[in-house]
Amino acid sequence: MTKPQIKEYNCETQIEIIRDATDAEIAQMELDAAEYKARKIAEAEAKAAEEAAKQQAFNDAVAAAVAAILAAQTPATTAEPTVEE
Amino acid sequence: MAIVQVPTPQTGGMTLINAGGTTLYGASVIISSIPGTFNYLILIVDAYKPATNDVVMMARFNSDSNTRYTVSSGNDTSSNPFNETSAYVAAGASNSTSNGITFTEIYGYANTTTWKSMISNSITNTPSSTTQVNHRNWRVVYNQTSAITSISLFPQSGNFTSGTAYLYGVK
Repeated sequence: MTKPQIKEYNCETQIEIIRDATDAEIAQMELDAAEYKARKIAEAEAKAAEEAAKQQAFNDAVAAAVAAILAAQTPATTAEPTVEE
Repeated sequence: MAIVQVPTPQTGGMTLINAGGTTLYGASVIISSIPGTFNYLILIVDAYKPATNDVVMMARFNSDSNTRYTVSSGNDTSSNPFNETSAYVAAGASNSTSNGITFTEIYGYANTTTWKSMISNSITNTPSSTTQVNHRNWRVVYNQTSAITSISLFPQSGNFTSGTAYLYGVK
């Protein structure tokens, strides 16, 4: 399996080389990639939570509006006549 | 008659340190042995394109991957912890279209007294819709006083596909 490649430009010598990454560099790349993956998951979860909150707010608003309409259309309750002895 | 001494005009100007620019390649590009003779550095990256869609481009100074960086954007901030292992340079970019450009300034890079301050302004094609743009302004502080003699650029995951980095010294 080929190793990740590193390009290095030396400003003093103006020489550019391409070399295999060292074991330490590969280990760091794996840490960076894991961090990237975790960040993407966190971003996706935050976006999903935001969408869910928006949907819930919409549902709540619709439910409140429906309740208000029903309340306006329902006649006032007439008290049951009491039985006189 | 008073004699007024006129200061010598400063020549100043920008010098391209990595002659011809350095094409982004592989998993990382390192610009090393940066001379400490300038006042500050300007790093321009043209047309950054990662192999993996929506991957940001990061930078490290002197190959330092410890939590010695802090990144902020937007409004002024206070009491920021140094909890990042690298500095953000370019926004998540498309792996199919690369019309982006990143302009970064690095202050105090050569002195051995101050922490290092970096400002980065990046535009990339939005990965999910390449006719739109991702625009980021980041401010980074690196809390070391050693002179910066090398800068590593890398996509946070995977490889570079293309792009070119130009490092200028400014006097």
